[in-house]
Amino acid sequence: MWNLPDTGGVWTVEPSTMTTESTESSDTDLVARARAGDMSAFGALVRRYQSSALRLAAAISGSVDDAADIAQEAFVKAHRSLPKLSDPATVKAWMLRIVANEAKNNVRGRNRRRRRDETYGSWVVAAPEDPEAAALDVDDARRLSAALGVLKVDDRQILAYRYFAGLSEIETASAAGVPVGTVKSRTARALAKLRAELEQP
Amino acid sequence: MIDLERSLEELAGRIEIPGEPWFADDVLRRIDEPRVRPIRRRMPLVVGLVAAAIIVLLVVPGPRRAVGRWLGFDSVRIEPGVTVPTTTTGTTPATATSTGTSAATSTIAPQINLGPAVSLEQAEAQTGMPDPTPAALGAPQSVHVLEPPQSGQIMLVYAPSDLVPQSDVTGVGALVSVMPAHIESGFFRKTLGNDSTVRPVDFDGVHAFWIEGSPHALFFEVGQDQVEQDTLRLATNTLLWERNGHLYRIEADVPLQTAVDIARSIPS
Repeated sequence: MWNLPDTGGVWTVEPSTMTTESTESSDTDLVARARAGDMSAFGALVRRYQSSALRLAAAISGSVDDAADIAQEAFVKAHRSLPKLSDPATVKAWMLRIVANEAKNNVRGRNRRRRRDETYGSWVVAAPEDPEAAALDVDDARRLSAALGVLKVDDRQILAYRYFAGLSEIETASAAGVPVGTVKSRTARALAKLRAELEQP
Repeated sequence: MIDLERSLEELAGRIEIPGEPWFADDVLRRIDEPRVRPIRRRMPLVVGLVAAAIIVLLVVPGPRRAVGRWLGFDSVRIEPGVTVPTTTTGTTPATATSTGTSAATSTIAPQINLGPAVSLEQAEAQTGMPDPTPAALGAPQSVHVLEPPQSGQIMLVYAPSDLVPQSDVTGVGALVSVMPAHIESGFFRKTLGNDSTVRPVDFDGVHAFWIEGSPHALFFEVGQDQVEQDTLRLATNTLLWERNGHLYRIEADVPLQTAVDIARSIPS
C-alpha cells in the first residue's frame, strides 16, 4: 500500500469498518458530541433518521432515484449548520426540514426537465409481507403514489412529514415552522385532495 | 373507503429506495471530502460552451462522428488504435530535441499517442517545468513531452496499481501532467459529455476543478488572449489545479479524495 502524506483528517476507511454508535444515546448528547467534532455521533444521528429522510425526500420529490442524493446533500448541510441549531432536542425535525427544503429545490429544478408521472409512476413498491393484513395491494400502492404526485408540493410536504417521515403533529409543526393547529388543518385538507384524486374515474 | 392515513404509512414502508443500506457511510464520506465551493458564475459559461459544442456537432454532420469520437460524446470512447488529432486543436508529441529524446515509446500507453519517452531530467530541461512526480505514485512508467503549449508539457504515465486501477479504455493507471497555463483567469473551459460533471474544489488553499465522467476536451490559457485546447485521455476522472503559475492535472479512475491525496504528494 502507498505511504500517503497527511490527508488532513480525510476519511479513508472502508464503510464496513466505520465506527457505529449506540442507539441509546439521546439526540441532545449526539448533537453535543457532533458539535465537538465526533463524526461517529453525527453518523448515529444520520442512521437514526435516514429512513425518515429518504422517504420524505422521495414523497416530496417523487423520485426514489434522487432521494438518496437529496437526503445526502441535506445531511451535509445539516452538519455544516449544526452550530446554528438552537434546541438540540429538536434535531430530528430540524434535519428533516432541511431534507424537505432540499427536496422542494429538486422539484423546482426537475419540473423543467422531467414529467412528474416519470417519477411517482416509477416507484418500486415491495409486496406486503402479510397480504391479509395489508391495506394496499400493489395496484393500490401504484394508484396512491400516482395520486400523491398530482398534489401540489405543499400538500405533499405536509403528508410526507406526517406519514412518510413519521413525524407527530408537534414534530411536524416544529419542522414546518407553523402552529399545531395549522398542521391539523393542512393535513386534513391535503388528505381530502388526495382522496378526491383517488376517487377520480 | 380506504383508510388513507394507514395506506400512506404502509406505502412509505414499502417503497424501495436505492442506496439506503450504505446511505450513512456515504454521508460521512461526503462530509470528509474537500469542501466543494458553489458553482456560481462559471457554470453558465461551461453550460454555454457545452451547448455551443453540441450545436457545432449537430450542424456540421461531416466531422460529427470524428469529433464525437475524439471528445467522447454519446458514449463514444477513445479506443485502442485511435490517434489523437495532430492538428492545432489536439495534443501532439513535441518535436524531439537532438539531445533530449530517447527512441523508446511508452510500452503501456501506445494507443494514446504520447510519442517517444524521455528521461525526467530531459523533460524538465526541455519544458522548464518542475518535476510533477507524486510521492504517492512514485516513479512513473514513462515520461513524455507534449504540445500544447508550444513550450511543452511534462506528462507522466503510470501503470495500473492498487491506488490507480486500470483504465478500461487505454490500460493505463494514471496520467499526471504539468504545463505553464492558467485556470483562474476565466479561460478554463471544457466540453462535457452527457455523463460528465465539473465541480470547483478547494484543498490546502488551492483552487481546483474535479471533472467526472467521459473524456473531455480542455481549454486553457497559456498567454495573453492565447487559448489552447488539449484532450483528456483516460475516459475517467480528472483533477486540475494551478500552483505557482503551473497547471497540474491528474487523470485516473479514482474518487476525488484519492486524487487529492495524490495531488498533495507532489512537492511544491
